[in-house]
Amino acid sequence: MVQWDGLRKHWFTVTLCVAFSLFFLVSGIMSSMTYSSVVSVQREDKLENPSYSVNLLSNGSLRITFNITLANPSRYVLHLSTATWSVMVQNSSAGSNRLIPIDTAYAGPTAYITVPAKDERVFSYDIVVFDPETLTDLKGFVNYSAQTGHSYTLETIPYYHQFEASAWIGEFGHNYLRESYLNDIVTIVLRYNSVSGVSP
Amino acid sequence: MRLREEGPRMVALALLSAPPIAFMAFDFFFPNLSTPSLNKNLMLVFLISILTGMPSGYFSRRLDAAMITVLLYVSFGYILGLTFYSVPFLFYNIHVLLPGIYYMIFVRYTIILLFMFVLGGFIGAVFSGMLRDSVKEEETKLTFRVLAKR
Repeated sequence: MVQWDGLRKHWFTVTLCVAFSLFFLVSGIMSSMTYSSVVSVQREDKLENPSYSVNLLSNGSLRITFNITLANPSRYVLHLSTATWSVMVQNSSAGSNRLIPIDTAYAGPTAYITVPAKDERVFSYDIVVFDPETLTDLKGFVNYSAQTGHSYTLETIPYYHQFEASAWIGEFGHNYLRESYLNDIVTIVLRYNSVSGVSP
Repeated sequence: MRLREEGPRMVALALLSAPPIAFMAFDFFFPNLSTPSLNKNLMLVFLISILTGMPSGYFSRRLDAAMITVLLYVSFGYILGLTFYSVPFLFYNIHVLLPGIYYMIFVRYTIILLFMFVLGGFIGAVFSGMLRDSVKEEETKLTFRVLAKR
């Protein structure tokens, strides 16, 4: 028979031990909850409502717009490290140069773009294409497509939009070189393209 | 007292001492997520390991039972640490890709701590055993003095 009466005699030491143990148990549970909520951010944060339009202006230039929303329902502020948008036309009839690049836009970490917690940020791009070389390539695409039975105009060409945003959760700083295994946990990368849609 | 009779006490002590081990292993892997963090300070880890080993020595009546208790609580603690590490995948319906690699990384990063937990635990158990013996000795002396005065 185990003698537990010693516990009653050493009640102060026992209380200290239990408090010591409970402190670490609660800390462990809290830390694992934090881990869960950080991991959940990668699942909760999404790119939503992409929209784009093309208008032919009276001077022959093209106006291309693109909008997309980064929704951040998590309780952490996101700090954007890069946001990249590019628009192009895929020209599968070309031999080697299969893309007609139109424009790109890039925002780096020095832009200090943040997405507040439980909020969203709309990324809007609005460009006017007046470069004669690009316009000639696009008109060539329209003319060649007409020969293959497609009736495209400059406004109805299937423009290919790509958007990528990578961000990090600012609250959990660590050594990004020595503790590189933690980088993926506090970083989220969201991608969208106008052909396949949003990809995680 | 036979070692077998110490069993329930050893298990109770092992369960009591497991949380600090679990937390230290988890914190060593995620120093940026845990609260409060030891920031991979190995000296602090070793000191807490010694403290964690003390109840085993203080409440066990045999040194070998205390040593086995240390091994037991390090095992329980490590399993609890792995549970903390698995919480997003156990309770939040998030799927882990390549679970073999996921757990191997944790074991690989924290394996060195296991030696510190065991060594610190042994030191704590021996030290607290000596402390308990000395306290008992003093108590006996005082009892005799009181009896002699009567």
